[in-house]
Amino acid sequence: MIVLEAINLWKLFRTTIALKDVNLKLDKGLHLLLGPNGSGKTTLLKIWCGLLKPTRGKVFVKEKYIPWKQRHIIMKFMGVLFEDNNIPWWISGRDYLEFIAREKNIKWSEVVELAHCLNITSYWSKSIRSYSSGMKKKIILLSALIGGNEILILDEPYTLLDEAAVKELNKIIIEKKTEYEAILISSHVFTGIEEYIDSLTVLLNGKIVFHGELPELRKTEEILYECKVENPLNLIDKLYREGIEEIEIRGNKVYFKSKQKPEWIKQYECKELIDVKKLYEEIISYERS
Amino acid sequence: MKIPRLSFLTLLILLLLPLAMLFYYAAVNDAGKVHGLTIGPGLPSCDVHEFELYMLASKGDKVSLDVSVSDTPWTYNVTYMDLLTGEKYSYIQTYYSVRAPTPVFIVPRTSLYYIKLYVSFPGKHNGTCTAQLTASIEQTIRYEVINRTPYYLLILILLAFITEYIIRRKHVKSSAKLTLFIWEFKYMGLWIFSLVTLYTYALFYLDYPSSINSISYIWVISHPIYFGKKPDYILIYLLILASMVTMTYTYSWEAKFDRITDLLPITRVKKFFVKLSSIIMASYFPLVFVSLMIYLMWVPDLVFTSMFIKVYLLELLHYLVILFCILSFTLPPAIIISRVNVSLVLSTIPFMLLYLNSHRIPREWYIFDLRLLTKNSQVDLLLITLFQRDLLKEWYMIQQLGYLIFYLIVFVIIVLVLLMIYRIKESP
Repeated sequence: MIVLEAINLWKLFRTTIALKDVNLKLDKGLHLLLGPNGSGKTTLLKIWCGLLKPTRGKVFVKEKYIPWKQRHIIMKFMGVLFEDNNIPWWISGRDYLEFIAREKNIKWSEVVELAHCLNITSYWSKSIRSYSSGMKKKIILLSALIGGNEILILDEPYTLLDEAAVKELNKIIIEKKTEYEAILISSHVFTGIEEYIDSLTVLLNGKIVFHGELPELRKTEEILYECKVENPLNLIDKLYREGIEEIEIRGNKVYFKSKQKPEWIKQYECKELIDVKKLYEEIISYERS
Repeated sequence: MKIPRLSFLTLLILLLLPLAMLFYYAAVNDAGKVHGLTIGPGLPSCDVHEFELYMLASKGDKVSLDVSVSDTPWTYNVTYMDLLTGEKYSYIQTYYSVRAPTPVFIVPRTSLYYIKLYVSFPGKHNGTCTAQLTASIEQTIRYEVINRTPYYLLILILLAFITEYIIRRKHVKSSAKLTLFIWEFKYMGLWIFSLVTLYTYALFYLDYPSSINSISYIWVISHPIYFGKKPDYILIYLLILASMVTMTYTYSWEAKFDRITDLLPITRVKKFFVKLSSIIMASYFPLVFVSLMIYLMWVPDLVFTSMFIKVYLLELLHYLVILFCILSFTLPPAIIISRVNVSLVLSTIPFMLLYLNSHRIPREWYIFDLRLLTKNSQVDLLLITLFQRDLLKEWYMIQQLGYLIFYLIVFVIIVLVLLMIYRIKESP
């Protein structure tokens, strides 16, 4: 089933074109939307959430819901995070989360569990005015995570978060990947979540300049392999013999890139990773040139 | 020791406790206050001069009717009638000086009284005679109110306990609408405005009635409380309402707090109406609460009569019309304009200017005469017409009713137009 769909989508803010003829279909899985600032990522997400009305074209959620008309239905199963979300600073983070949990019929114990993971409980009873930007971001992030059980849309979830929080968030997203129909993350930073994505979309100046599903990407792109080995020397020796020289060793993990999958790789405990960062940079520089 | 967190509702009930102290303070400190009213002289004639008055008096109040005439001898014939029991108290005396001391009437029980006074000049049928009446009431200590205050405090504390007990025991299933109400009241601070309305109105109720309400042909000494509206309270009410409306619609939008509720499973139409009804609840119920509390504490005997219930319902309807009228002015800028500073100015200034300059408005523009909302006390009038006349046969009442209906229609139209604007603005 197509979870999120945009057909010939245009969005104009007076004379500014935010989205130009966007056609995109996202199935079940974890999707990454990349693009530099002002490329139209947030606008596209806001249209899918029903916060903006398309100027032209069609948008669907789960093949049948028209977001700007049926936002109240969509919000029953969609959790959303936007950078410009604001919470009243005179209440406490806990009060705010209680409000969201009550509305979304979420058990308080589930909220507490996630709050522990993101290390929120230590400060959530204080008033929001005393929070740092990162602390506030975590509260808003948690409200999005508890906000829906089928679709999760996260716009720039990593900004303002420290390294530990980024790791914890990625862990939560990877865990939730199987529970949700679709998770869509828009970002312009690379935090490691790109290793787990099912599709990649790149937006530039309101246009989709790249969209690829993971199996397709594996066929066309150079794949980064991550192999867990007890004795890295054996594997390095094999790789040199194959003519692969760009090798990196981190503890008991060996990383190397190859366009073709070596046959002997099955003997090892290896994961196929795509170097999304490199791919993204190539796309952007190509499009700009 | 960890202090248990009290629920929002319990705290709100407990915040009403000072209200009882306010009534108590007024009951003790206003003793000795004199309220006066002068009528006449009417057309110079030596026929019988007739004066009619109504008063809401408490037990122990001292009423005196000071009459001065232009000719002697003259006869003074006064009847006090308790409108609740039908009991009558009369006094007749002939005087030979132009001004004479008349007996003081000590009110036997708290009630609404009808006073009828005849001044006649025996033996004179032609010529010019004038008569002028000055009625005054000296207020006594309100022992009834003082006695009731502890009960009131006790009821509030008990109510707070019961509310807290129910909230802790019962898990109320939340609906999106209820959640939005909670959001507006608890988190966006509408409760503060509600409390401000409650206390400012209570202060006006107790302090500002000047005891006199003069309508062209019926005289009422409203004492110790004033039936109807407090003329200038409407301006304070306007400021409270404008702030409330601006905060709920404009500020929430400008500061992006609205985004939180945008992401709740609730339609835009419902969201609009929940916001509007939160404002109406926060501004209307304090008036109902204060007026009812004052009536219950000061004149309980009157409260449980069917006549009073009818009058009180009309009074409540009147408050509602005032509220709708103010909202018709404050809502459009709050919804159309996205900046608080501009919206707040535009919400208050037009109504204020129109209200303060109502006397300059030509009679043909009758519908814009905002002072009609407060100047003439329809409720006083209703009270009297309910006793003596058929309400709907009074031309004045029909005129007033038309005026009220007009404002209701205007309000409904404005709300519908604004709803459309709000829907477009929500999803640009």
